Amino acid sequence: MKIKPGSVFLIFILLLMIYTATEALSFGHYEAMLAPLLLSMAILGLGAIELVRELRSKNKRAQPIEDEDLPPMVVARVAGGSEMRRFGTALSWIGGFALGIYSMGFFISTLLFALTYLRVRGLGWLSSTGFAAGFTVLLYVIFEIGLRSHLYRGLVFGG
Amino acid sequence: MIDAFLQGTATVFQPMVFLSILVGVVLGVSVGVTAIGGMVACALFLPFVYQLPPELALSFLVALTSVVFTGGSITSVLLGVPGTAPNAATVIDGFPMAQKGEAGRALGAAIGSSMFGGMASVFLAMAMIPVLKPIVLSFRAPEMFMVILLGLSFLAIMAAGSPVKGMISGFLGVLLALIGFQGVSGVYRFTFGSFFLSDGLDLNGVVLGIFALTEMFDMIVKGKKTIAMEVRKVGFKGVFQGVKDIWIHKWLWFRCCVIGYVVGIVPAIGGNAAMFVAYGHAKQTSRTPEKFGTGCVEGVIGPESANNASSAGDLLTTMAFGIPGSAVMALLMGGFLLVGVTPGPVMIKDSLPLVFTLLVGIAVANWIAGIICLLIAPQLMKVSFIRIDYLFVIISAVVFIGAFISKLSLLDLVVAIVFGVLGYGMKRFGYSREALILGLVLGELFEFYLTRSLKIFGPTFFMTPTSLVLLVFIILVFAYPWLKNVFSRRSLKGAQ
Repeated sequence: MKIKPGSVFLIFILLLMIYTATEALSFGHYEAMLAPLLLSMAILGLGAIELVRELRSKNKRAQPIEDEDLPPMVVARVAGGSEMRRFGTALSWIGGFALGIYSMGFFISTLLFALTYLRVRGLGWLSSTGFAAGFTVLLYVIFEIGLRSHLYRGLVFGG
Repeated sequence: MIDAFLQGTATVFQPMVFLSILVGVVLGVSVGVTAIGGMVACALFLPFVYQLPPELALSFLVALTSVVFTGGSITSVLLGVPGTAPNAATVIDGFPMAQKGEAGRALGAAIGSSMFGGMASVFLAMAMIPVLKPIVLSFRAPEMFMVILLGLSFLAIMAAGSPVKGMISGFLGVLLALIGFQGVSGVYRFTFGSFFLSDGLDLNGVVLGIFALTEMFDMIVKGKKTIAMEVRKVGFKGVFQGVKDIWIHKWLWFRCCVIGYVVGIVPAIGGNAAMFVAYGHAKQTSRTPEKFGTGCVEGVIGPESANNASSAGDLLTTMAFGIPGSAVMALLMGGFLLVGVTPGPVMIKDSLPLVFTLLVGIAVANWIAGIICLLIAPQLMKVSFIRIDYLFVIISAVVFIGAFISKLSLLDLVVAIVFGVLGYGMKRFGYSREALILGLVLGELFEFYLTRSLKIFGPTFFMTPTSLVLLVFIILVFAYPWLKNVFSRRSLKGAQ
C-alpha cells in the first residue's frame, strides 16, 4: 500500500504528540503537565481517526485545499520541474538570505539578495539594481531613521 | 459612557491618529487588491507598529484590517479573483456583471455596500456596549474556558479541510503556546534546554512564517508570474448606478449588515461565514432568485455589506472577552499585546475611550476606503500586476525584519523559516493555519482558565448554566455536518 504525502505529514504530527505526551509526564507537577497531556492525547485521538480515514480513501489523490479559487487565466504555470524541486529552490533562497543577514546584516544582505534574485529571475541589470537599491534605502529610512529600531549589522561588521 | 465616547471620537480626529488611519486605509485597500489577504497584511505590518503609541498603532492596524475586504471586492468584480476569502461570494454575481459590461455598476454596488456596511456596524457595536459590559463582567473561569473552546470549534468547523484537521490545528496551536517557562509550577516546558525558548515562541516570527512565507512558497511553487493578467474598463456612470442600487435595495442592505454584525460577534467566525449567510439570505428573499449567479446586483450588495459589517462585531468580541472573533483578530490581538494593551473585560471596564477610538476608527476607515475605491478603483488594479519576483523580495525582507524586531534575536529568523515550511505543509494537506494561530494566541488563556476552573469548581466545572449552554453549542457545532448530511439524505428520499 502506497502512503500518501498527507498521511506522512499526519504520522509526523502523531509521532510528535507521542513525544509531547511522554515529555509532559516527566514534568512532575500537576499544573505543568495537565494541559500538554490533555492536548497531546486529544490530537493523538483525532489524528488516529483522520489517519484511518485517509488510508481508507486510497483512491483519492491528495490535493491542496486552499487557494484553488484562481481562474486559469491568472495562473501561469511554469513548464516542467516538480513541486518539491520548486519548493526546495524557494526554501534555498530564503535560507541563503537568512545566512546573509547573519553574516552581513539586514541592509547589505537585502541589497545583495534583491539584486541576485531578480537577476537570476531574468530581470535586467537596471531594473534589478534600481529596485534593490531603492528598496534597501526605503527599509533604512523606515526602520533606522523613522522607527529608530537599530537592525542587526552582521557578523562581518561587528554585529 | 458618553464621556468615553466623546473622548474616543476626539482621539480619532487628532492629526497623527487620523494620519495613521489614512495610511492604514491606503495599505489595506492595496493589500485587498493584491489578494494576499488580511492575515498576511496584518502579519506584515505588525513590525512597523512596534514602537508607536497604542492609539496610533491600533488605529492603524484596525483601519488596515477593516478595509481589506473593500479592496478585495475590486478584484472579485473585475478579475473574478476574491481579494480576500470573505469576498468569495461577491465573485458569484460581481464577475458575471463585469463580463456583461456592467463592471462599474457591480463595483459601485460592492464598494458602496462595503463602505456603508462597515459604518453601520460600528453604530450597532456602540449600541451594544452598555448591554455587553455586565455580561462580560459576569463571566467566570469556566465560562471563559468554554468560550475559548467554542471559538476553536467554530474555526475548526469552518476550516477548508476536514473539521478533524481543523481541531488538530487548533490544539497544536495551543500546545505551541505552552512552550517556555511556566511561572505557577516553575517548570521549563519543551525548551530543550534552550534559553531562547524559555520565553516561549514569539508570535511575530510564527505568524510571519506561517502566513507570509507560506504564501510566497506557494506562489513560487505554482509558478505564478503576477497576481492578475487581464483588466476591464470601468465607467464612472456605472459606478454611481451601483451606488444608487444600494438605495433601491436598502432593506436588503440593512438586513445583511445586521447578519454580518451578528455573525461577526460569534467567536472565530468572522467575515467568511457572514458573506455566505448574507448571500443565501439575499437569494432567498429576492423576487428573482433564478437570476443569482448570472450577474445580479443583489448578489453583490448582500455579501459585501455583510463582510465589512462583521469587522466591528469581530473587534468588539476581541476587546470585550480578550478572545479573538476571527483569525485576523487573533493577529490583531497580538498587535494589542505588542503595544502593551491587554484586551478583555478589564479593557471594557478601564479603557472604554480606547474602545470607542477603535470603533469610530473603523467607521472613518470605511468611509475613506469607500471614497478612495470609488474614485480610483481602476488605478488601484495596477497593484495586482506587480511581478511576483518583486513581492518575493519585499515579503522575505519584511518577514525577517518583523521576526527579528520584537525580541532582537536572529533565532526568530529560524522560527519564521521553520513555520514557513510547516505552514506550507499545512496548506498543502488541508490543515487550518488560522486555527493554529488562534490556538497559539489563546493557549495561555486556555491553560489558565482550565486549571483555575478545575481548582475552584472541580472536574464538573462545566456544569454551571452558562457553561452548559456553551457546551451544547460546541456539541452542535461538531454535529452540524453530520446533521446536515442526515437531513439532506432524508429530503432526497422524500423527493424520490
